[in-house]
Amino acid sequence: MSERPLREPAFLVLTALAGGPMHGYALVEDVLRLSDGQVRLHTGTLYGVLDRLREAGLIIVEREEIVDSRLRRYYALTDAGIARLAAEAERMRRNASAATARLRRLRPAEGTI
Amino acid sequence: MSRRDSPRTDGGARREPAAEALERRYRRLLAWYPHVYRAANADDMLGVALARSAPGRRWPEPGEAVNLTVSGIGERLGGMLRQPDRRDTAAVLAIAGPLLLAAGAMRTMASPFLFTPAIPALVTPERMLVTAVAFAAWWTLVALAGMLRWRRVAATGACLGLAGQVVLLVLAVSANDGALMVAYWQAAMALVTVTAALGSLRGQGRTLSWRAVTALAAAPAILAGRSAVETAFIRYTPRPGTFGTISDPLSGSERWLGVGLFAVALILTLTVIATLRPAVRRRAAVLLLPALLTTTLACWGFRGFVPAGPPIGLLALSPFHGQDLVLVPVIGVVAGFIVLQFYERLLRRGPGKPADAGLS
Repeated sequence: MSERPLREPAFLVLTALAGGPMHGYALVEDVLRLSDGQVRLHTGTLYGVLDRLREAGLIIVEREEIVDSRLRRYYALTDAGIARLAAEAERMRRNASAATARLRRLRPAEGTI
Repeated sequence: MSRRDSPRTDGGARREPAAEALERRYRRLLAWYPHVYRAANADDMLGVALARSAPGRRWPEPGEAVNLTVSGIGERLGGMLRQPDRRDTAAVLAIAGPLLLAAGAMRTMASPFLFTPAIPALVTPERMLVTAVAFAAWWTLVALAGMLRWRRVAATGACLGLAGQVVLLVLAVSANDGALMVAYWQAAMALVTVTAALGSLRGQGRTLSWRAVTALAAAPAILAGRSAVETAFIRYTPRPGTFGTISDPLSGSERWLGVGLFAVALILTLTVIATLRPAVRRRAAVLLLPALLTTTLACWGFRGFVPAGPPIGLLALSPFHGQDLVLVPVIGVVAGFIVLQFYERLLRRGPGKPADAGLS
């Protein structure tokens, strides 16, 4: 995957998998928790994200289980995925710091108007 | 709604359990995904979709249904564009399409020299000529950008060209059949060109040599100018009180000259297609089939399109002449796609072939 910033669903999926291998529905639930109920991934979106992350080598299928006669696939971060998530988190932290610093300067000015 | 989905009205019959009904409907939604993708992921996806649903639901949530439909279609389209052969085919069409459109516009540019002053009723308005010059130049530049592998420029140019063709189509709705038919096919070709240009964005390498592109440009140019040769022999005899009469363009040696030029154009096109890699050649042949059918129909059935006038020719006498031109190419491309899919499936299943031999 190119070094373009990850989109929010992809970032949240990687963040969820940083907690350990998970299957599809567990990912949906964990992403919902991580985003404070803001992001509830649809099935099509989730699998689109998982496909792209797999193609980029950021995640792998760790194992497959049969539960209630239905396949359940567990996904896990790769080393490349861990590095990418760390880089992305750092990039977002820098952006957030810059925004916070600007807002701090903006607020006193607003008060003088 | 199918009969199986209709609510039961027989009262005594057993009602399908909600979980089963929901699963069946989700499976139906997953049918939007390609077969290969479904075989690998449908079970896993179904598990997630069912787990997301509230207990007792019989129908998928609307948002989930739309998401699966859109994602499935996206996967089908994306799957096409991810394969190098399909990207290469798109790159060929991204050059052939604009060349055909430029030739079509040139045909309009040539019309004043074809029909006037011989047939005053078919005078082409000046604004139509100016538009034709602009479109011919534009599509030539788009083809050139495609050839130089400036793929983003070509895709942007194709999108703008399509917008222009759609405007022409809207303006042509109130005009005569001939103008509408020309605008309709130019818009359809522009849509194919945009799809191809977008599909070839990630393409690498050159799919056509300059020599092949020259031949590919010559073929539609010959077809565009072919009517000029034929109509040059038409003799117009004015008669007082009437529009006058014209000599039969279908008789004499000029007819065979027209056939010869058509054959030259066809041979040039087939030669270019023959130089492509087999997997690209198959697809290009199928996708160029509608253009071939339309051209054949227009050239022989209608004696060419008359941009400023009504269709003329043998098929113009048929009450279905408009529908012929609309339906035949559409049926051609659908039939071509079905045959291609079937053929590639056979190749994939063929003995001793690798799993994706048909797509490589």
